[in-house]
Amino acid sequence: MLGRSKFDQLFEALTRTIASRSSRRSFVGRVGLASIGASLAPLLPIDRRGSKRAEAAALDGWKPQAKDPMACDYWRHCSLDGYLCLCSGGGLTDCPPGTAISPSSWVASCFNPEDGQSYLIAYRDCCGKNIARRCGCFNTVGELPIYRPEFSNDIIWCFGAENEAMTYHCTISPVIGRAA
Amino acid sequence: MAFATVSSAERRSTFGRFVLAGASALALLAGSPRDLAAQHGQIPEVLRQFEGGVALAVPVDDVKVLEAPEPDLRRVYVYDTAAFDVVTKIYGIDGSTGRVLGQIDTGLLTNMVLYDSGRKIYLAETWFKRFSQGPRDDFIRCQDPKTFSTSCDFDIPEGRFLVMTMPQMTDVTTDGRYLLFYQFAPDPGVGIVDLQNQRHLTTLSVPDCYLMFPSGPRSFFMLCREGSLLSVAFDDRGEAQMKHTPVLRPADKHFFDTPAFSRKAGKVFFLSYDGDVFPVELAGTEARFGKPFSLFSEAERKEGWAPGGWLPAAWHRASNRLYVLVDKRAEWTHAFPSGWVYVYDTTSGTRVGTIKLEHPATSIAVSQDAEPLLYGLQAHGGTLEIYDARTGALRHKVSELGREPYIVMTPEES
Repeated sequence: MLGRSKFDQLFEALTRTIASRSSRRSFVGRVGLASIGASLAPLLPIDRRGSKRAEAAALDGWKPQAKDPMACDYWRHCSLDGYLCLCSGGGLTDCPPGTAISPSSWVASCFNPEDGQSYLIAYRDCCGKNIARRCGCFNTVGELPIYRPEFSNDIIWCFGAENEAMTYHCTISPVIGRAA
Repeated sequence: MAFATVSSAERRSTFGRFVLAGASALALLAGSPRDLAAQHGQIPEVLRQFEGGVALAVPVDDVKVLEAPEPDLRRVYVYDTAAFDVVTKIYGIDGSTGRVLGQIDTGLLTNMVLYDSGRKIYLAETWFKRFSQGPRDDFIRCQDPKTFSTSCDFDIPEGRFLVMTMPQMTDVTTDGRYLLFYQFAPDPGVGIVDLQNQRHLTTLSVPDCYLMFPSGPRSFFMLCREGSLLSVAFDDRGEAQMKHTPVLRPADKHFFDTPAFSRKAGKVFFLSYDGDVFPVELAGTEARFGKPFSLFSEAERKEGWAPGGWLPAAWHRASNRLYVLVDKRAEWTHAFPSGWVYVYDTTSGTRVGTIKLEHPATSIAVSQDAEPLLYGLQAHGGTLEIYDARTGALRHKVSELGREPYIVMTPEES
């Protein structure tokens, strides 16, 4: 079931290395892991998992499309488990008014069917308001358990947000690079 | 339009009559006959039919606030995480009858801990001063399982890990004295709370490890990034000693965040995404790795069978039966509901039963009595289905359990 690609192996080795080199007492070492990994990840091989056939919220898997970013199966949302900010006053890469954008993120490699390339998405939570509860998506491509938090979409990623806002409102899906 | 023809004075008069009728009705229910006679002048005509010894078809009711019965091992709790809403709730349900017994109001991503056969309930909570905004407040509450009211409430540091509820992010030691809660930021740690004195003892700094599995009165284990377990022993002053076990998780496997765990038995059944079970026995600071076994044959794996859900596994201690949510599924659908529960004898690692659920479930639990019930929870349908765990027969359905109930929990003896 869980294919173990070179991407997996390399990323695991990378994050273990980062973890071991970072002071575990350090907030940056802990929470910044995702962004450090993400900044290096474009150097890694393409992860083609995103190209496999599947469907949001169905057991037959993920089938991304590139036409409608307000739909859960839009390719950038491949590991977005939450609410699309697009539907609640925000944009694909912008938080809604009155929220606080989190500097921390989790990452995923999502396949764009339009150009046949995979891209790294560093999902950012918009914080400081209660849940948006519009356009709820449940996508789990590349989601790993909590002992690999940089790939976990079950966390409220509001660490470091303005005013220490730790409530979750919605999520944006900015590209941070190509997965190759 | 008809209302518009009534003058304001008439409306006030009409309103006054309703108030008077209501007050008189209260007097009828609460007062003695002598009192009622003294108030005859105030009773509207419509209520005079109740006077003068006219027999009532329906007896006058008494009203009160109920208490739930003593909790038993079939008591089950369903937590509506409500997709990270700041206001959530827990339903207490009698598994034998499928009747909702009461509700506990909770905040953001609450962790509930059951102890002593469910006679003790602890809640690790987070709340904000102004709804979703303002200063954060973390605290511990105790709940009475009969009155569903708060029996203790005290502060802890604002460090709880706000993550989709994973039961082992909060637990109590085997003697029930200390509550443990996980802290993710700013530093990885485990908060230790003295339940007897109702105070935070300390927060231990820990390595890159997660989840807590109590293994003794002053000890617990954690699952670490690189695949080992971390043994932690602490004393009543909060001093701790730690050591890693050998690696348990193979590098090519990933474990669900929500394994089956029995605090009483000291047993954990870690479950890999692809369907292997890794049993571990915990006692004090020692961990013994059991022989892993597969949930599926090679042919079944090729067909796509794999475990999946949020709480995909539950263990019945007395019978050594492990219940696992399974289905045919594509890669990366490990958190999606499953339509089947497969049953395994954990002594031999062999499958001993299959249960086709009436509706796919996101989470399961099993009661720890001699005739166990299997609870299957549909997070997106808000329904709990209650099955006979031995036959798979559906007993009850409990619907309308909030917006997105993901957590189902049962007590065990201590």
